[in-house]
Amino acid sequence: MAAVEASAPVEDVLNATRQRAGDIHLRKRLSTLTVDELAALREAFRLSQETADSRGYGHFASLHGFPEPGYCEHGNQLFLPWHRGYLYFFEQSLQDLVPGVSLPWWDWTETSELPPAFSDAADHGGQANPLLDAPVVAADGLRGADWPERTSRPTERGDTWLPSIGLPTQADVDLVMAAANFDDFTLALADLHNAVHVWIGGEMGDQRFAGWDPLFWVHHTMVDRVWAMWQLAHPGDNPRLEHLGKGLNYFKDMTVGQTLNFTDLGYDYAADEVLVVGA
Amino acid sequence: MATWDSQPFSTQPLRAGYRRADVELQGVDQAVPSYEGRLFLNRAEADRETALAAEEGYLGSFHVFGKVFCWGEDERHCEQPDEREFDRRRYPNRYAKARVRTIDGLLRELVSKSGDQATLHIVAVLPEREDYAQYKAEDVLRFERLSIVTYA
Repeated sequence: MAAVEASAPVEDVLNATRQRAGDIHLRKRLSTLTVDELAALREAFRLSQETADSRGYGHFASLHGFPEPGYCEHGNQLFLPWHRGYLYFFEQSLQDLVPGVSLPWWDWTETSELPPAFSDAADHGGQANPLLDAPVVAADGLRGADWPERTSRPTERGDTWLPSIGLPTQADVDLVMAAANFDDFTLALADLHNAVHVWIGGEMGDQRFAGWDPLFWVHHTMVDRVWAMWQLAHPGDNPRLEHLGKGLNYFKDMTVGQTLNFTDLGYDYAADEVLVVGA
Repeated sequence: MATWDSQPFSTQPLRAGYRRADVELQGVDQAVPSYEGRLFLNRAEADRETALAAEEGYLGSFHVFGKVFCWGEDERHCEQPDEREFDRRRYPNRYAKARVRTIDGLLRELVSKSGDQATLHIVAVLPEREDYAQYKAEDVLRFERLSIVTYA
């Protein structure tokens, strides 16, 4: 879906007007972010990484795998709802820091490499790119006493990639989208998701530390978008009834059932946005 | 290199008519290093260099996004406790389900070239990292059950 707005003020590019109006915000394709939108995203990540308490990056990053055995759900029907809630609460924390910012989706089908926005060493202003890596510290800015030595430096990717497998293609996504029921769909999408984690390697290839790599968030936003598209094509095909009343583990305020309608969570997925400014 | 080989199994049920066939793994341990599991039929010598092609017996891959290992020193540290009445806590799952749906006709084609029995082989491909080199098959390929499920 491409949104076209007439006479939109320039500052509207960051969903700020939508937020003021109480409207849902748009998550855009990473490769179509404007310079301003990318700068806002970087600023939000930078400020989040500088926040050493439960509002900051270390807190959210650590919840995926810590305290052991971690809170994340994988390989079952709660995989998608749990990560949708996880993205929601993290995105809310980013919006506390930079109003109107939203998580973009990294469309792995359009590339065979890491996105430059998350792999360039510096941002447009020449400052260190906070989307490249992040210090592996918990909410208090400290590290677990038993965390491996290799994680004492910022997150890494690089030469840990598997040489023979690539990122998922559109054909892979089409195969997932062809799943006939939620159970099939979630397992197929989970495997595609796993493949990306394995392909990137480094901290992303380790369930405990993956949340610290900034790529984690845009990877999972893509996963969430694929689920959203599948939902639109399969209304009512959801996790089993017995799961719907369950809280999302750490995020107990949100139940599985409350994750199902993504517009109720205040967002939708857009491909791009064309601003049309008055003469 | 971590590999797993099945015992010979009967191919008779796989020759019958079916619309879909899945290789299904239950109870896949996630407290292992992340890896790609490549499935081969009748190709015991397959390794990470073997081409991912039907003529090599390649059936498809699954991927395990692992947490490397459980750090807890106490017994059952990373195990999910048995369910109890009135226990409303929810524990993260250590064991996952993975499913590799085979490509239409591929299994049929490969089975047609098999005898009455066949073997399945998994090659676990790990990132080429020094600290991963220490892992053996039993450290990586840990699952409760593997089966081929057909749907009529």
